[in-house]
Amino acid sequence: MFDLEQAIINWRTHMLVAGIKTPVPLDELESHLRDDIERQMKLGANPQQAFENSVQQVGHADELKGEFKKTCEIKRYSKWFLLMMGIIGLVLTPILNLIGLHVFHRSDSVFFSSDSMDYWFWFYMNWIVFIILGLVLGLANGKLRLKFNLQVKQTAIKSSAPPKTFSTLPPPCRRNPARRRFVPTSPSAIFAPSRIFSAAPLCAARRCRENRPAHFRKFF
Amino acid sequence: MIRKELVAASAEPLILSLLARGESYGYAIIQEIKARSKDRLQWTDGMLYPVLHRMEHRGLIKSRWAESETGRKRKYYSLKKDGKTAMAKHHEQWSLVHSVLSGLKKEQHV
Repeated sequence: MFDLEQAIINWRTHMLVAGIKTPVPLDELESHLRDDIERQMKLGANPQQAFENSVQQVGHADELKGEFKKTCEIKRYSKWFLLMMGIIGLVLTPILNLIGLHVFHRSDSVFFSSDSMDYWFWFYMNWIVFIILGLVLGLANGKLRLKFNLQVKQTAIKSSAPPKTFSTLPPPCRRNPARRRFVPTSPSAIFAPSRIFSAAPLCAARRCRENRPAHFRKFF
Repeated sequence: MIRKELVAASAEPLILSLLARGESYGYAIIQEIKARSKDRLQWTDGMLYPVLHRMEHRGLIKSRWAESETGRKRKYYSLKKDGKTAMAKHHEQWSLVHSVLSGLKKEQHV
């Protein structure tokens, strides 16, 4: 016996596994699917027929995923670029300060004041520690989130037996899951250093809002 | 059947023009386009949503979730001020293309 509700849940899982992981497009696509099924059933189609036609009409998850990706195409700097910028900053700061000290004789306004070494040394050390901590936290957060997302997807794959109705659809692409984009799913991820120092804070914030699970959306 | 490239290029002006008549949602937009083109403009239904999201991202349209008459939630889209400007530009450009094509066609018949 065909269970329409279960089929729609399976379809959602299939889309999620295939890469459409944000709730907003999925909710919207589900609403569309239900509208189309309803229309076809009014015209006399049986639920299974209507569901299969509607799924085909909505399109393949891989194609949709590619199109949704284009929505936010602002270039984001890579972690290596951020690291390089940090290193350049660390090297340039003492050089500029030494220039300030020896060329302009502004020993009172630079780190390398000849008056008190203790002052500039600890100030500079604090600054280095802050930058390194930021980079480490950012990278660790990204890695943990990626691991979490993969676990969620693997659980979803294991828990859902492939429905017969998807026999015509291609299997979700899982060739290289490690390359999948990190998606923040918690409020703490919004304030992660890697996001704050990102080149597209507005875009990232919008994606964060869309990607939050329903129980977070209630409170944040 | 109309070519894929033309269907893609015409999506934005068609959506803007439809939304200029009032708030609407994805499924209704597709049905309206199908009815008006007598099923000759074939969109893959799912492809409409990334287009709508891009337009929203660019500030041409805005959206809100609301309950439909059946009690199910739906995302309704409406036109913004920038969308009206973009629509006017699209109309101007498509009219230009149309007039050039019509002129050339007339010359062929003379």
